[in-house]
Amino acid sequence: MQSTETEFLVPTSVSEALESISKEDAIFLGGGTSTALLYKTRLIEPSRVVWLGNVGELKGIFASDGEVKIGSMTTAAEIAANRDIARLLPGVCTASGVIGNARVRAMATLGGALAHADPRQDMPPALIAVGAEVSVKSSLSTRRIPLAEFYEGFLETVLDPDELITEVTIPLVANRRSAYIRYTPTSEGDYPTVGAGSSVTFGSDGKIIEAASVVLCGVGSVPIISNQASQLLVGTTGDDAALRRAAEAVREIVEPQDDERGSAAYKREMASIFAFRSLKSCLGS
Amino acid sequence: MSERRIDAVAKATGAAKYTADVVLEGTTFAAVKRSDLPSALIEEIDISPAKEVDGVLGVFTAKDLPGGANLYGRRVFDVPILADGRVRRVGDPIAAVVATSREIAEAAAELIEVTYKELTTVATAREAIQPDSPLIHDRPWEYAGAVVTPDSGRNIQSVDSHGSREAAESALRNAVHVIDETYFTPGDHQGYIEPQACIADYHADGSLNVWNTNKSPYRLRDVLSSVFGLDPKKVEIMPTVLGGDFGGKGSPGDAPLCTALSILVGRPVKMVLRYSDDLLSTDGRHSSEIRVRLGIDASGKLVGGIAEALLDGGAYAGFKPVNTVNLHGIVDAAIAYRIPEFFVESKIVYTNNQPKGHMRAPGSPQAAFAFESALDELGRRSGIGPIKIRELNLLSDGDVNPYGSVWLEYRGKEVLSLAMSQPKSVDVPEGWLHGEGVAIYARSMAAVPKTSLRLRRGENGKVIAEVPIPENGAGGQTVVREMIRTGLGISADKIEVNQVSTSLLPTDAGVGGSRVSLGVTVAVANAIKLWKEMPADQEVVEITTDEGSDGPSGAYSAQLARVAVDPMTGQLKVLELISAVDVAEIVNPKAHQMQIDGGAVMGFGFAVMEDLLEEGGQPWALSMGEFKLPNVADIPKLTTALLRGGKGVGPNNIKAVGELTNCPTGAAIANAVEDATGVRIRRLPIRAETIYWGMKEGSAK
Repeated sequence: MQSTETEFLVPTSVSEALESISKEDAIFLGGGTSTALLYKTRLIEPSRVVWLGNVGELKGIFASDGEVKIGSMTTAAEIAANRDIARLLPGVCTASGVIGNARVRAMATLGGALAHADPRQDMPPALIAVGAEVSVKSSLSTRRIPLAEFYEGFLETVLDPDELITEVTIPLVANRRSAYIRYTPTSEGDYPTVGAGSSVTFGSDGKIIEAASVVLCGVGSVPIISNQASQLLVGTTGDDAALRRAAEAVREIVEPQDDERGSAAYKREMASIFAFRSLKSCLGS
Repeated sequence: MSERRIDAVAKATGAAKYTADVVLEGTTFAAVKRSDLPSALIEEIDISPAKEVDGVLGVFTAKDLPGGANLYGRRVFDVPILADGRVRRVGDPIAAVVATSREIAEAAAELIEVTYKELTTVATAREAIQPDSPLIHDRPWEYAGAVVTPDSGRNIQSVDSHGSREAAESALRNAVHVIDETYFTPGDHQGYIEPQACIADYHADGSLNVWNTNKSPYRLRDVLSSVFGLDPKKVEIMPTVLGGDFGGKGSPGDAPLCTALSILVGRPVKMVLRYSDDLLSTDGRHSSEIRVRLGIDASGKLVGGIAEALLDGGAYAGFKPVNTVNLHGIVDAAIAYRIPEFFVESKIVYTNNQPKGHMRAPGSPQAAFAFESALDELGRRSGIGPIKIRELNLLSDGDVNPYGSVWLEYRGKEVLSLAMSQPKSVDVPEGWLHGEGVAIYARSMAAVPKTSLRLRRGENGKVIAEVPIPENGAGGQTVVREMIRTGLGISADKIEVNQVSTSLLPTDAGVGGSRVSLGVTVAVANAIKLWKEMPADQEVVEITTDEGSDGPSGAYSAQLARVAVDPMTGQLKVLELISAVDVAEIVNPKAHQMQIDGGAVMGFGFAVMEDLLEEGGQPWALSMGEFKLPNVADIPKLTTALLRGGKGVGPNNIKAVGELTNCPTGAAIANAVEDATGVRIRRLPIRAETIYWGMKEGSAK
């Protein structure tokens, strides 16, 4: 039975939050846009809910010379509206500005989104494409995990039950461009049929690509990272032919499923097209 | 100028009291254990774990129902309050828990164990009519109100038709060009904001008070008194505010169940559906498969046509309120055109899907999608062109329509021309294909204004109107106020309009069928007349009307859709929807415009996204995350052009508008998609993917 027996705790610091989570089947609650739905439909029945809304140290966006740090309780709307993010990480800015709708973006938190691990989410491909790392704390330990290695399956991550995402760190790299583009053919308020995050880093001459990344959502049980696409771009000038070859490679590694957002065959086609469009947008067409 | 809507402030501030807000002393809460299977016999129901939960007052199954009353419906009584030995759809209520809180009731209901013997599922209307299809109901003709007989055929809920099949077949044989195509639309839900809710309060003296999300209180009263053998005078349906309706709130909802439970526990029983249960257990729009054949002569004039509709009525016929137990929108498919020989048949069948009922213009969006797509195809394939074929065949004044009546006027050609002549203002994205499509819809206005109301002197010169109808969101009560305001020449703030319970007025036919503004205005006009003649010492005038409106007449709408399609992906963007609407006088311009815009948005949703995703006897769209409705970002630019000067009906010379603009949209958009891409869409909702593969195949076939 739910609700009558669920404890609701409101810690004001990370250490207090980590103590509160020690109880078995306790969960952290961020903005509630996913967790509340799971709770109301009884897919989860925690005995204790630890709401992080009053933990000030988990909030905020801090840009320095070499990196940008985003606190885990920062909302999608805050990220989308942040000038440093818009300037330094345009893909992250775009992704955070298209999630759900304005009401969802006002509540949804970065940490909550990453922990929820729905493979249709917009943020993971945008963040993985720029090398984001997730800082995680428990009462005993602290670790930092590349977001590219964070996901294990549908709604599954490498997090232990007592671990809390505290922040996400994105390294800033010279001559890097990034973008995110999503495809929602039915409704703007839908999960994407496919979303494509990308980044391209030029060498010091500004002409030849030294590193690249293409990451997709909606076409597998976890965000799909195309190493082959990256390799096909490195050493090129990012001309359309190179982009096409990279986009073509994406087709081979996606693992889409038939659903109301498209058949697997259609999603495969769209993954390739939107990988191309993301790269094109990245290169500032 | 438009005066503010009568319900605006209360709804905007949260002061409005909806059914879910009603709290009675001693209220208990109900929840049901629903069927997990679409078709099965119930072998055993174990309610004991639910009974042991603290706070549970009772757990009941069909055998417990008071007086053995179980079946109810709006016309056909074939819906069980609780499943009696058999379930016919996912979501059928099997057992009900009454408890001291909603949470306890819901948690206890989950503990109920049902053992089933699974039966073969009939998942589509097509399967249902096969000779070897399992019977969903063994003897459907035995239900009270049934219109079928043992000879009607397998799993038939009703068949309605018009015209001569032989004559139409013969005319088609002689036609120069013929189109013969089949069109499909999905099961849909009304998408109101407020989920269905009910409180029933039965008393030991045999009286019953019911608050229900229902727009037809007098019919609900009659259904409940009939099901439970109660004196109708002692059944009182209480006033409520409705949070949206779109046809879905005409059904008795959970009032029969809550009434039964209140009788059983002797306390008020309340049930508020979670939205997922509302999507699962109410009565939305019928999915359809409609074959249309149309034939023209060498000059492009229609010589004959046949429309054969097969509709999925789901597990029960009981949510259709009209005598035919059918949908008049299907039979009326050809109402805008001159067709010498037209035959139409609308067959509604039982399946193991959710039962379907009435949704804004029942049958019309399906029929208009099929008919207006077929006519468009015929125009294109014959070389006559989609506009010209309509101009040639729309009815003109004096014509007899395919149903044998002559309307006061026919304004189809005028609305079409008006829609075509509007300026177009939305740019096509660079590199995208562009197309335009039109569709026409006409609707008769033959509603009988059976209603009653009372005007009463209030303090400080106020006039209080007591009406039998709830405000369902369409503005019916505002229409009443506007008529009194203009009829008596007093300001809006001197007028109160209150819905009163069913014991306080004699009758009403309910909100729906575009009848409120037409029917109610007759009653209000008569009441105003009496009021003006009323002696100074009299406080009240009351009137009951049951007279036909003028006519026959009707109203037209024409819609022009402009679309853009991404040639790489098939993505469809509806750039704008231009609605030309046939109007006479307008009572409240803002409310009138809201009906036009809301209708166009609803038609747009039906065209491109709404779908209950019924498959294998299960609706899969069970949350508002999966059952997509248009949001603000999706809605195309809406333009309205009013064709004024029409001949309306009633004392205010008006035409109904509420069901005009949601009907032609599906065809208008599909026609525009062919214009843009050459791909013909014959199944709603229109998916980008369908356009994509269609373009790859590279033909209109």
